[in-house]
Amino acid sequence: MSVKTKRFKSQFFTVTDNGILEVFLKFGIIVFPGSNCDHDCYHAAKHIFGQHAEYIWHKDTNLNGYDCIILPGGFSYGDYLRTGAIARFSPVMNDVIMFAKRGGLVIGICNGFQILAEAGLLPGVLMRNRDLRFICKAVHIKVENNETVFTSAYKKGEVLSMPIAHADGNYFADAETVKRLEDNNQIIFRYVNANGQMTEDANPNGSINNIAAIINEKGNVFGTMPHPERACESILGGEDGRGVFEGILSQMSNVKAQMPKN
Amino acid sequence: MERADRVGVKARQHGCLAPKQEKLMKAKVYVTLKKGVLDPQGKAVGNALESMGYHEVKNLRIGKLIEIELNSSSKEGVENRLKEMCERLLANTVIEDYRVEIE
Repeated sequence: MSVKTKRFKSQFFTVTDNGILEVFLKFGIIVFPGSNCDHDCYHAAKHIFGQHAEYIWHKDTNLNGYDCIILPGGFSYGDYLRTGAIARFSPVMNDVIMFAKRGGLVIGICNGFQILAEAGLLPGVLMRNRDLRFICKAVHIKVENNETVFTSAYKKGEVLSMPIAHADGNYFADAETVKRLEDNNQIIFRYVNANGQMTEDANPNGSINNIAAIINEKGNVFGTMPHPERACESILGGEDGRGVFEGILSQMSNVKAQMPKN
Repeated sequence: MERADRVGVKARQHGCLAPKQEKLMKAKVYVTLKKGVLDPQGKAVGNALESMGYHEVKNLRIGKLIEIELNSSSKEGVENRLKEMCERLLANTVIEDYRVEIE
């Protein structure tokens, strides 16, 4: 079987003998000093979903050719001052902001979400958990908006189980901002109980309106406290996070497959 | 700017005058949570004091004190620079207020 693999800029695709075009996406995972979920993201993108994935050191400043940038979880700069406050000024962040402004897909997971909020790519801020403790457990979340690139693989209202692991996940924004998020359908996941009800008990960290994940107005920057990349294999406790990657793959692959070949 | 100052700046730019003396200043930056933002840490500490018998404690909020030493030739200059530092990094103005004191 002869399979030709062509490389066009950094967008990868394979043309098989019968002319079927298989498109690969290129994920870039930013590594800050103190990131510790970078390998989880790499593993999910590369080994579970078979895409291209590369680490990007926080001092690098070239994001050309990437389809999706992931800011992983961890404790960048030891969470000093405020979570994400120092990482937000890493050299690569200027390029992440440019990448996002051009419409590139950016995901911030956990500490990544905190960094995106500090950088102003997402509104609000993630404060210390209501009970001041680090929480590491699987929680139930409800898909509030499935009309985004990141959630199109889910059903609206679907209840998922994903792990959280954070001390600062208490989402806060002023009333006006929260109203805007609600009105624009920018709230993507909310903490709920197993029956999908939004209760105070189901809110692990005190987030306003049980907010667990949001998206920017344009729909290309996604911040989530629950870890989809840690919920992609049943051996690790569940596969409910796969939808985030599947959503990106189905939407972006279509876009790329329709792009001119030369 | 006074005319004499303007002349001084010009003269310094052209190397006719020695650079204005910079001196080490000390500043304190207080970063506090905005009104209405919950402070579970402050609440826990307040409750602890109350349970220790300090019933007069009614409200307690915890903030940060940042001490900075910096070189500058004028107090106004320092103040502006510190304000910029607060806006950009030291405080998150979504939830925090800041106050600067220069010694």
